[in-house]
Amino acid sequence: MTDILIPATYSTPLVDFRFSEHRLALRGEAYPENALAFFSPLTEALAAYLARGATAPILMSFQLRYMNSASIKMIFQLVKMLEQVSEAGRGVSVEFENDPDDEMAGDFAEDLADAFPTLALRLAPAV
Amino acid sequence: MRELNDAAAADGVYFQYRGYFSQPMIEQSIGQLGMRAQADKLDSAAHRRLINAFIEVSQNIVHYSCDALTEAAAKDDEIRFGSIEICEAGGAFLINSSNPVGEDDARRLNERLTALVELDQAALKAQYHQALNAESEPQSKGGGIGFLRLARGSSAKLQFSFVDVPVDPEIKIFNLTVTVQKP
Repeated sequence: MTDILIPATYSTPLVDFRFSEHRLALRGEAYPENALAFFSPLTEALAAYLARGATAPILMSFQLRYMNSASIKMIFQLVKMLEQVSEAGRGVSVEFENDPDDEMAGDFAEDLADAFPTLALRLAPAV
Repeated sequence: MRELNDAAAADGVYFQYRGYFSQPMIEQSIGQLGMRAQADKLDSAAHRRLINAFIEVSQNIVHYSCDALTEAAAKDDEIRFGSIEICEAGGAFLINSSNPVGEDDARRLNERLTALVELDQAALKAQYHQALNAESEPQSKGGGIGFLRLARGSSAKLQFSFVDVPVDPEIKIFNLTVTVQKP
């Protein structure tokens, strides 16, 4: 399984999906014109990784600033996939590193916490 | 709405653009708004609320304005016509966006927004959660949550109108106002 490293642009986040270390991260902005085109390969790669059925715990971390609604929806899908393996018994933690004054990203974390009550979500102030 | 807009304009135009919108234009505008915010020492939470709303309304223009330089079916590198004016009034930013839409879209948008402005914050949140979980509507490029998100982030009810275009009865000008509170 190849790791994915995609540098950030003005409107897309740094993608650092280290499947080899079971650590996944998205950092930066997420408002591409075509969110489906940007996120679909990531969703597919994550699905393939999860289907391999390793047991090592997964850490997914988000440090996102501006997001458009289409990206929010795609990221929600990523977290949903993680929730499903977590329900099946694999260790999964999801971390949000936010500026304390970024209430919209904070809201997003809260929305995820509401939608996935069993998932281990942690809000961490960005350093 | 016109009176409100005139009052806002008297108070100060913060940002104004009328012309063709594209993703690079939006990215540059966000950079520009960032410089303005820095110069004004704008509260960063207010700035972020403003930018999130700006992204949503400007990408709506790129995705849905019926005046397009690019092909109707295009999903990338689209260029479409509209206008956005951000005014400061009464301790808030008023984000006014306008773009032409076809009759069918106008009817659909009108139905959707008329229902949406009746919802309180709790109901908006519930619908938003439902929409996050749902499959996307085929005609939607925002996952069906764009207006819900704008309504949740707006400190006043969304205001909208559809104005006839005398020279073209098949087109309406869609006007939308989002209010973003400063602290």
